Amino acid sequence: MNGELDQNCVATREQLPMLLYGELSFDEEETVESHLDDCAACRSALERERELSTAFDQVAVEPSRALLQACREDLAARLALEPAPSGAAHIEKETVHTWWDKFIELVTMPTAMMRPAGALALLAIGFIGARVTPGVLPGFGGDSWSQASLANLGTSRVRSVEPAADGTLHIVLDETRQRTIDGAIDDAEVRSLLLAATKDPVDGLRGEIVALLTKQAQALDVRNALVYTIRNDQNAGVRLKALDGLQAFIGEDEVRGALTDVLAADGNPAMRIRAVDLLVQGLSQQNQQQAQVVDRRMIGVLQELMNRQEENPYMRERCQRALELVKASAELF
Amino acid sequence: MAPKPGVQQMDETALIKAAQAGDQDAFGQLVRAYDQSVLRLAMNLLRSPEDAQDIYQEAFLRVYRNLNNFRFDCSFHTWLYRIVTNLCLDQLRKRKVRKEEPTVITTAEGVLDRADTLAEARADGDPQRSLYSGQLRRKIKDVLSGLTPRERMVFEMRHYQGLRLRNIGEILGTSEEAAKNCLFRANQKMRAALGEFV
Repeated sequence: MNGELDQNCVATREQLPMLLYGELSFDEEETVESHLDDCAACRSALERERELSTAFDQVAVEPSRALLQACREDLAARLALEPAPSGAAHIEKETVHTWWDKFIELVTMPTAMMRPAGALALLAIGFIGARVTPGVLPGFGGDSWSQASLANLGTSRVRSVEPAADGTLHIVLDETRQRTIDGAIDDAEVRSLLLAATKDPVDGLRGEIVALLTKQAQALDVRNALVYTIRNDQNAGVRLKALDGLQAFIGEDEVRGALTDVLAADGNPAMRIRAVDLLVQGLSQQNQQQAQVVDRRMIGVLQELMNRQEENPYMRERCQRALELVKASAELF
Repeated sequence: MAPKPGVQQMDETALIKAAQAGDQDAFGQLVRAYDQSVLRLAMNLLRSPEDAQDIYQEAFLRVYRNLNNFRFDCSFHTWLYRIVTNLCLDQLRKRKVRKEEPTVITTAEGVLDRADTLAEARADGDPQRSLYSGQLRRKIKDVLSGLTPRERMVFEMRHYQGLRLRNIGEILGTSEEAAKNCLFRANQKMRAALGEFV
């Protein structure tokens, strides 16, 4: 071969991209390979084709985790407003949020938190954060959490938490040396560790701990931690879990205030929808005596949403319902 | 080649049937199995996070609303990608009609290609090579945006998503041969335009 483009070379070069893609038939590939064996110029052309293919790879865009997360959250919020698909033998919802809860948990929690259905919740968290130190956290008054003595723990970090079969928790701490603590969730030391770890930088660990704490929300220190989480946690999935734990305590000023803050300022639409749902649910269940207590700030935020900001029709309907329940006008005066 | 997303076949069939029966948990698992590749496809085709986000939401809403029309005549992946590619093709055609350059924005520092601000797998090396790579990347983007929507789609699915031409044909409602011809045309155009670099 002298390297000039004869008919065979032209035919071969047209096939080179398909050769690299593996999209030639057996016979076509055989013909091309046979020509390449004899033609140095076409072998060089194949190398250039490979380089070009590599260059194409360099303009590939990989969507960021943040964008994927935002997409999932928006979809979850949108699906919450969708009726069940036509023809579905719809599984009865246990509560108004049951499937929503599952979906939110499924799509918003970090991958490391995904577990096979029915499997025991086991944490496999890489590294740790929450430094366990005594002191008062922002948003927490002189409650039992801030007063809990952790001095005997020194400076520690919760590495992981595993629920055991007997209902106790197995907590692994990173300290100067690692040690483990086993105890029930209502044990003071265990509780203190869990509460401190609600500020851990690892989303997955915070999510798991908040989920555990939601079952203990009858305790004031836990409720305060959950309120702190819905006001301050960066991860919407963790904030949504904390909201779950508070739904039985909407009658409390602190909880209602936090829900009002979420309605007014949380950037996540799913959080705002959940907050207004919980407010409506709580207001529907309150007794006559409670109904006479007027929460002017909540009413103001609801009216503001109705009048100026809220474009989501479901949110508007819920806000209106909440205002009706407190016998307030939808208008701003 | 990007691995084909999804869940194992037996699991997937069970998940789809459960989702069709109204199990939202199963639907969530289906979304999670495919949504990253859907977003990547939309992002690479449209080069706009906002448009990609719209495609993502609309595609999965359509899947949700029409799940009971899915009869297992093809794989769920193929069905989902038909929806996604139709939405993306519509968007690409609208851009062609409007002759928009949605990836270009004007800033205080001048006109920028937004795609340049997106995370890419860049080849770092010596300055000369970086300059060459930068020029080549810009040229490739120009060439890609000059392809017809169908050529762009086939090239995207074959080169970046690693789908076989047979599967691409099935997704686009055409034959493997037609998809191959489309890819061939796309490659011809790109090689002609990138001649100085190769």
